[in-house]
Amino acid sequence: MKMPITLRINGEDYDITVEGRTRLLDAIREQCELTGAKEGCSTGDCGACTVLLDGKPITSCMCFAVTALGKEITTIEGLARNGELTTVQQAFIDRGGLQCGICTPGMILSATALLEETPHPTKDEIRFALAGNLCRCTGYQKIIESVVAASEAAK
Amino acid sequence: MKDFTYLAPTSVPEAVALLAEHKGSTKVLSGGTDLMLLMQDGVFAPDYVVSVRGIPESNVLSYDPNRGLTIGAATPLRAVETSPMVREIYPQLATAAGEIGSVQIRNLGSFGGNICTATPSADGVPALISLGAVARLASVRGEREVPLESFFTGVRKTVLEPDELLVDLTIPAPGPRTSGTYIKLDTRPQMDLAIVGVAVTLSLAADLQTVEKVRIVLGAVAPTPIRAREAEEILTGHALSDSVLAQAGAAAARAARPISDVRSSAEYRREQCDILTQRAVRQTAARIRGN
Repeated sequence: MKMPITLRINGEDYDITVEGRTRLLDAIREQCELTGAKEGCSTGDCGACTVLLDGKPITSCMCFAVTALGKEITTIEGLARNGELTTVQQAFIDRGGLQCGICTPGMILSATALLEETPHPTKDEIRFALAGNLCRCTGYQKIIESVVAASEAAK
Repeated sequence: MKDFTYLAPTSVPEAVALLAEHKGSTKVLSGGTDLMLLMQDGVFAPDYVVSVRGIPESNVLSYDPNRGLTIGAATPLRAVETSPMVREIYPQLATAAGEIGSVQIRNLGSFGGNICTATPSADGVPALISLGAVARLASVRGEREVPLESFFTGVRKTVLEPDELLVDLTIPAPGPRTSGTYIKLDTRPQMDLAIVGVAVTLSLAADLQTVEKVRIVLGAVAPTPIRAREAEEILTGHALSDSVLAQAGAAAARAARPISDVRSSAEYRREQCDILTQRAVRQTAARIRGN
């Protein structure tokens, strides 16, 4: 059954039409045309679909779009302001925390949420926070270093 | 998956009325991290999905020294995991919550969903049973309270009626000299199913040696989580010593009825019930003593 809903993404209202079964990931990618969030596994295991819901990382493939009504959604596209990258984004570039980039939007969003809560995390705390984001390219070390660098740049 | 009508009641009476009206073709939605998978695989194909995330009683996390802890069925696991109050008073619950999935999963998922999905390895369940948790269920026929220990009847089977709702869980306030531990044995630090899960809630007598009360609950080693009652009896009223602990561990291993599967053999699981029961009791005793 199709129904009109409004999703609030990166501070903007998107008026779209979804069904009950439409996943938040699909609403974001297809109807809102924000393709930063990726489909990696469709079972909530890889984190490539990570977005922030009221500031908290969630796997958007595990979420029906209708359940996100009235919440603030943040996607990777919502981080940079007027083309200026955030500290976390810049750190991933400077430290080489990405190769193919598929996991990167999710990694950056999870890392951003972590640093909001824990501005100077240990490496173990970073690994714990990013445990729901899988990477097939980098072997994770440079991702961890990027988050450390971001936390130090913010000091 | 098949499309459905999404319903978002804002009270328990409204919710149970919907479940009764559409009985047989509904599923209750909490975080959705299990339900979504089951619906994608076609295990469930409801015409109506009833979300409980808008029901205030199902989203609480509150403590009162008289009534104890109340956790709403839909309260996110991440809230339980990170709550300073839960970490101090019910550390085994904070640990158990934090062992499920990843941060992303725990921002959506809930104990209610973990319980109602009712897999043998459900991480939330042993700690909750060890604390004497009581589930409050509601339907158009009224409310009933079921000790969580009696809630499970088999693999993915519970006493929940098709039109019944799990509203919340109540956990008694701990007495003095009481604490608990949950140990999950798995191959990865996160994002893994338990090979064995052991929860202990322990109360020591004033001498801090003698066991006043203990509950030992084993997960992933039987169709449902089980109490290791023989092990509990061995410990109760006795001072904790290496030999008493060894006997209790052996009894816990005997209580287990594990299977061999892709994660582990039955023999290894049985052995780990022994080792982890002893470890969980030792760790809890140390915490009570303030070591």
